[in-house]
Amino acid sequence: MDAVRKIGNHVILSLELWFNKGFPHRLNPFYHLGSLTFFFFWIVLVSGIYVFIFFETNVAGSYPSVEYMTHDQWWMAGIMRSLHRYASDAAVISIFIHMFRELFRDRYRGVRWFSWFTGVPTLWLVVILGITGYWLVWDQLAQYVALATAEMVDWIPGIPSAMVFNFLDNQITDRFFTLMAFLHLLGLPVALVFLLWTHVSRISQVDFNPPRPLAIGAFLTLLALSLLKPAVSHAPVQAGHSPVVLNLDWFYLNIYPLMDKMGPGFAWSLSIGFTTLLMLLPWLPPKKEQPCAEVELTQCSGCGQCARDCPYGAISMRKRTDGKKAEFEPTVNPTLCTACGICSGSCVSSSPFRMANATLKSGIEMPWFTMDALRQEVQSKLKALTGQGRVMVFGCEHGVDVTTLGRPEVAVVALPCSGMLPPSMLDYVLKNGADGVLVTGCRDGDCYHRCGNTWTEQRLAGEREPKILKRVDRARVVEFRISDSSGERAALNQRLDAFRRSLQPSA
Amino acid sequence: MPRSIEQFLIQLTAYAMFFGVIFYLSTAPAYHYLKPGQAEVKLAFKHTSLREQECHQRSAEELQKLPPNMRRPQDCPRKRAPIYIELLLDDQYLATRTFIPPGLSQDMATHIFAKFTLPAGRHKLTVRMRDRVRPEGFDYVEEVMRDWIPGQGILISFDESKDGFEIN
Repeated sequence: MDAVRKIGNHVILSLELWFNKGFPHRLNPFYHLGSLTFFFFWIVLVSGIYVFIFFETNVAGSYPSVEYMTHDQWWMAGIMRSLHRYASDAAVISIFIHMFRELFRDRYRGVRWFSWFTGVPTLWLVVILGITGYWLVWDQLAQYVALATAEMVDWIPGIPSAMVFNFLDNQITDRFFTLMAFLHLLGLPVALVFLLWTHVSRISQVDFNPPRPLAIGAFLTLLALSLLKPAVSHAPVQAGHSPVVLNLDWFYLNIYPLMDKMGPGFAWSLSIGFTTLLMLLPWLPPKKEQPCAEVELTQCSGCGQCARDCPYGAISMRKRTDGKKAEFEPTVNPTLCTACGICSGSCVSSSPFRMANATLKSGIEMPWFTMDALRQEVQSKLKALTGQGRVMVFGCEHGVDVTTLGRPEVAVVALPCSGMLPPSMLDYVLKNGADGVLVTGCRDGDCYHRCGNTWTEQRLAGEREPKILKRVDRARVVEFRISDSSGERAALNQRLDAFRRSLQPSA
Repeated sequence: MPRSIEQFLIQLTAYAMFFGVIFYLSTAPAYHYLKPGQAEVKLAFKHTSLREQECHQRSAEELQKLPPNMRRPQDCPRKRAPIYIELLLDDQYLATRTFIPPGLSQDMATHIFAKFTLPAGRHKLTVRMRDRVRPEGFDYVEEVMRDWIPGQGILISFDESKDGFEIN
């Protein structure tokens, strides 16, 4: 599995590298696949509501009503129908890239299993939603889909009657058609909303909306598609005729030709087998995670910044239990904590200037990598720095491997996430022998721990607590974020060399 | 908005790829459900086959051995015979199928559904069915000679009221 992930990760990062050249400033669509999917669902919803105004939910009326929309009112209802179809197709694309990206970037195991596990059933709901949509047009494609679906359902052992008999020779009733319409228009969408809510329920700072330029670009592309290739129906259902050539929507209807070729048993086995494998992936093998964050109440002011910064919603504030004046204290939910360290970086008591002659204690700590351990590592590496243009590099474990940058003039500290770095540590480093500090880590908008790089950027820009002190010479601090792709590793070296050349030795 | 020619070209390519994938896969490649010149036969009906064994009249001795509440004069094993169907085109085998009655005791009515293709043109289509236990012979036979047109959907059903097949 590791090898598959590594190869997939390499492919994804190489693609993203190319996209980053064209979509700068956090606009890379790969970084917004989830929110893009939500955006496509919005288009599907709005266009679907419009189409429903003209749609006849009965066997005799459905096809003529769709034809009216497509040909007579092509300028609005026809475009809406096309947008409805193409946005649904686009959602399948974004969902699958999103899924494989999270898999290859190893963001589906450990504490993050829940989002992955609850995301997989949404695939079924989305596909069933699409299938029932094609059903409602009641053209020859719909008849084929209905009959093939019935064949698959009838294959399930234990079902007493044969569903397929409902669709032979155009025997379908309005009652059954109404049921399908109910499923497509209300039942399945409500279930999908519930599942999507569950999917994101264990993370905080959820980005539901893509950046506006991306949303506009995607919408205009779908609109262009709708104008250049309007969605049309097949011929109406004709008694005594079987379909010969079908223009399938392969995003949704790909299982049916397979069923025709290999039988319903094979189609079910493949679908259920693939789904089951996906759902079990977080435990094949499970991820070994570090112990979760621990609160040290003696050092905690109860400010709540750690709870605000936790990207996983693992920290909540509750009434103080130690009798201190502060009203609240943080509490960590171990089932949600990924031990990323962002909370330690957000704690004002993580300042390395505190407890200079004693063990540094922060209000919230990673038991396996305390702030005191970080300060000691920084101190020892600062002592070892020699030469001109001495730089301390702080990197994260999920960006470029910073340990390869080490040399006499460059000290390197790898953190689980750059968000673990308290801004006061930069001041500390510059005051204790380094000429400059370079902070690197995951690309903007693509933090392995979701928000770590954003919080760090905002802290260093003085926009988020804990803010970097104003006395810190910003010319001696550089942030350079790149992905761990072979195409960008050299860029980090070049940036480091340029930064070192720009530095004057500290006084 | 793109700020350089390179950005513009990359964005254009990315949106074109997005456009192209949906443009193509939303309707293509075309799926040929039937080959040119083929018609489709659907065998679809519900039928209850006969019991595998005849009912047996219990003797007074046999009845005496049973508990009082189970002393029914006849012993009728519930299991029904498999339904065997042959489809012939111009007296050549097109397909044969055996359908096992559903239910824990295999005693329920069988829903029969199967699809076959046949070449269009004038052909004799024969369907025959055996619904009881016997080594050979058929209980129901129907044959028609017709011009089958390409893309035609031929439905073979069983009319219980007429006790015979219908080919439409």
